[in-house]
Amino acid sequence: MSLPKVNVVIVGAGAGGGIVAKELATAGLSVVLLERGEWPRYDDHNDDELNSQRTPVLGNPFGPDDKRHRRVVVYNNGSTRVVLPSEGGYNNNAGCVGGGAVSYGAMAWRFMPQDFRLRSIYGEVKDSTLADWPISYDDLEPYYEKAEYELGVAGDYTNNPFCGPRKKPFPMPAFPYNKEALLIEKTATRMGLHPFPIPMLRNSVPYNGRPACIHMRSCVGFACPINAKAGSHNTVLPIAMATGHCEVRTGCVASEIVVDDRGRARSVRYFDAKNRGQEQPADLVVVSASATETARLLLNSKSKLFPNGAGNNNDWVGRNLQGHLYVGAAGFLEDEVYEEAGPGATLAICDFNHGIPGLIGGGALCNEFIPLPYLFTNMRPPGEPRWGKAHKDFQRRYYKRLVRLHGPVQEIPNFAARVSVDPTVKDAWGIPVCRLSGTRHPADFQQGDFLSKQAEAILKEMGATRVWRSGPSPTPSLSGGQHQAGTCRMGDDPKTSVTDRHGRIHQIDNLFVADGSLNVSNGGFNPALTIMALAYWVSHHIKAGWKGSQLR
Amino acid sequence: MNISHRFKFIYATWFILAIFLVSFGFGGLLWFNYANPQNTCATCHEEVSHVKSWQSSFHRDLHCRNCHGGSLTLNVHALKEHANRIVQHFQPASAETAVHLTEAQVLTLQEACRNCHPRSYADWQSSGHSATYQKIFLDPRHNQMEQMAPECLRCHGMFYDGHIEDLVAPLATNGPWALKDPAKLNQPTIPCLACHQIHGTAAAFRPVQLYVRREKTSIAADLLPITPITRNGQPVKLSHDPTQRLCTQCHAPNAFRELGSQDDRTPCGVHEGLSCLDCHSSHSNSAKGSCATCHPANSHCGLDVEKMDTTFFSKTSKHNIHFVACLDCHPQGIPKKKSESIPKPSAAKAP
Amino acid sequence: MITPVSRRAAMKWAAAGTFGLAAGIGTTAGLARWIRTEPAPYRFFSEAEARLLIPICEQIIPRDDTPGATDAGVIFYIDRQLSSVFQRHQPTYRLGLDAFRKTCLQVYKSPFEQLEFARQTEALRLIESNKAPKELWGDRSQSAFFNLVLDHTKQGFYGSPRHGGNRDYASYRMMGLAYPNLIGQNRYAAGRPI
Repeated sequence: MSLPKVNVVIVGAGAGGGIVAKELATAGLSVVLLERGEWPRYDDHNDDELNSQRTPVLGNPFGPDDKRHRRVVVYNNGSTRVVLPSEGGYNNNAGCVGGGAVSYGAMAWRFMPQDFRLRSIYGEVKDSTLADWPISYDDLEPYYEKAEYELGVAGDYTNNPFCGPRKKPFPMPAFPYNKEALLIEKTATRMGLHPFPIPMLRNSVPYNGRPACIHMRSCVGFACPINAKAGSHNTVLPIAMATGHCEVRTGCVASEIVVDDRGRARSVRYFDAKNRGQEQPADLVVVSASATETARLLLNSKSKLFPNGAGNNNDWVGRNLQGHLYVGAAGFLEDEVYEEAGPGATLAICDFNHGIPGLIGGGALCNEFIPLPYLFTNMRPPGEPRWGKAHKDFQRRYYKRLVRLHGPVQEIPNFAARVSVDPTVKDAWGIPVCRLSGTRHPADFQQGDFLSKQAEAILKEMGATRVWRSGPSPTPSLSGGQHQAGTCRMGDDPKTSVTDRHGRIHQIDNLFVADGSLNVSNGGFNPALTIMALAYWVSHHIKAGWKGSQLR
Repeated sequence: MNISHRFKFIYATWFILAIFLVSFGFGGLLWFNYANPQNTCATCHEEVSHVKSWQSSFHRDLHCRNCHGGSLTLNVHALKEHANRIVQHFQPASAETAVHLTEAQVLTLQEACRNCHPRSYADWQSSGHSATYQKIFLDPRHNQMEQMAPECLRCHGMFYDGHIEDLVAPLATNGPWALKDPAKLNQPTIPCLACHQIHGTAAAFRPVQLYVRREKTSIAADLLPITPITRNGQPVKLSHDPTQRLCTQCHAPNAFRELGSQDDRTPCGVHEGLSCLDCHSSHSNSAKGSCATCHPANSHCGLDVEKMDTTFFSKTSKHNIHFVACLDCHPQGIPKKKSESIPKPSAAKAP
Repeated sequence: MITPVSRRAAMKWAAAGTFGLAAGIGTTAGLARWIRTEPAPYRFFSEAEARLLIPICEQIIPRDDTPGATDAGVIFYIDRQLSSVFQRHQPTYRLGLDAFRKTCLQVYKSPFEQLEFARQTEALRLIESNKAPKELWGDRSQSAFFNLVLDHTKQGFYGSPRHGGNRDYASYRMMGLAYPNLIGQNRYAAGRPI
């Protein structure tokens, strides 16, 4: 059964989709936003570590649930396994209005200007699809700024000489360093490095009607009990809904984008909250369902002109899956550094991002979020007993003395790391599930090795004892994680990209992508703010096209 | 058998069956109403711990029905809940879920408290802690300044059954605001059970227990954490009274535990180390007349302490009773106590 | 005109009523007697399995000057999860506990729970390193079973008490972590609180 036609249907109400919904609804377009999850409710899980989105032992607090969702991972040795959403292999993706931004750590990084020109800077890399972005940092700068101001970012780049030029200062002052960061700052400065406060999508002062952070120790992995952490669910979506043009339909799982014989997206088929099949026709369709699910939806949308999935005639959809290899070091100080005031991560060092001889890219290093006790049981120097009295002694002695420096490594895109749809495994609605395969590029391990050694050196210089590196494992591993990106690369050449520079699928004039899938490369930073900026960028061009009536 | 006989037989069967059902049903209700809870309520997993803690509590001479209502007075909601539990029990996939009182049950139960403790109840009614949902959630002065959030319910409305989204709209700093359910308007947000757990054991006398909404359980005051409070980086001396830990849970400082920050009321200065309850009575929270328990009518300087402006509302007030220090009144240094200037009898005797 | 009910008929009805009443009360009393048993403490484990698992968890987090796994009620956490979200692990526990029981009987000639503490540690090291007699474990991994119990024990000990373990926040106390975490309300106006 077909529903009344609307101007826009957006699939996925995360960081990207929420922004597109607001931009288009305030421009007067009628918008339907489909979201597989529900509105997040803090009270349902609050500060329960076993129901944290980062340690979802008893299930994901913010979806997707273990009962209905599945993915398949292909290991390096060719064996496959079906993974549940609460298991590590699923990649920690959330499924709720607001998406991962409900429970993230809220780091608000702009990529550096170099991140958009990797190929020009580093040349061709063997076994890699390394390329320049079709757009530059300067193109995206106004949209970064818009994201920072509309959602709210607290930061201060006075001491960061590596950032790209900005036209306006941060809308909110930076968060102060915690005890751990103050010690790292002293050491790092002495070593000639340039520590500075991490920019955060979190209110350091009351902003846009939302209150200032109250410094919970349980922050990353949890929703904010006072909405100090910004996501589309508590910033732009309320504005979109207030226009009266935007309808958010929760519990709706999109199965297919219907593309007609003229090569235009006509509607989105989905299963509603009562599992009834529905079809929502629209003038244009925007997919913003995260790098894995966006690719899956496109691949599952087969039509006469696109027999291998929408926009996939050149087999580029789902390719170049990137995430972030997280590396660093940890150790213990003589005195306690633990503070009840969270969330922990306050300081960043960006000296190892670009300009390192022999490396492609690099990455940022940050001190870390406070681990809760169960998570801490997995933080041990090599060889430390895992159980018995020694385990208890370790927990008691070292928990409050832990110092950590970690960071995401710029992953080098490769064609073999990919999302495809599994030929046999289906989810509860009978939709073929994602199949993740391929491994990271060898260059990532060099970078990871380098970055973790830098972290180790800083901690040792601080006087930390028993310092151990959490470097890359020597066996090639699957990319992904919650920072996943790159599966619908933007580019000017339809043969080597999925969308054009405005996020429009090549050859399908009214089908857009607006999430991390567009990233040509994923930077040495958490990608949330870039996803938001891209959503503003894509929305801007949709609005421009709408006015020129190219889209109707 | 002729027709009239057959009818008689059918009538008789129905009659016996009806009597059977009525007596069986009524017998069952009677049984559940009067029998020892050990043999009724405690036959469910979820109730065992509640019954056990009740058996060793000060309220052990009361029967479940005295506070919770018995099966003869059961309402439809309670019957449905019990039936659900039985159904749930036989579904292997379901985890056993703990029994929690609904807010309506908490408020009904409160009437039982009132019957035996009318004085305490009246005191509570006179205090700020009997604030209603209307007073807390529809205050425009507050709502304009700060967006309401789930965390409000941690202290205000800890038994509220839903989410903040279900309680009040809009959740924004521009009103007008309204409660979604007008029946809530005059309900209290901090009922007896917020600070008391009726099953509290007699062995370790714990009448004061904080209801923690996050965990849906009460934690005895002496098991609550002691919050170290600092003033300019130096620790403030705290009372050993465990009840104060309960007060601090809501009248809390900021995450950096700074004295006087946010809603912290920890006393320092001349009153450092006193417990909240040294001055405030537990149910009315009134501190009226409490000065006289320690002070003579006149202070050392000859001021009438009862007439001093000791309001805590202004943190800059010199006489804010929570913060007043000797130097606030004696910037030139603290004069010797009058008693010290008079030679003590024992000192006079010394050579 | 009212038909007079014969004495005989009335007697018949009364007898039927009494029969119904007696049957009803009898059934109630019978059910009450039958219902009067304390519920079993576990939903998944048998008493024997629990007797074996409790000291295993205690080995993983033993009592010293602070509470251990048994004090914290870790077994109740595992039992509750196995009968709900961890149903997929049920066979691992059922078969693993059985194989481990047999391992102890064969290697140490004694049930695990009756071994001395140090011996128990030794027995667990055996399966942790996959060195128990292979014929007792078949193609099941000994270390995978041990690692699962290890992980679940830590979850039960450090997770929230709402899931059955960590009684009275034993682990938070042990690590000097405050619970509940104190959160001050935001002060939106300096000076006079509202």
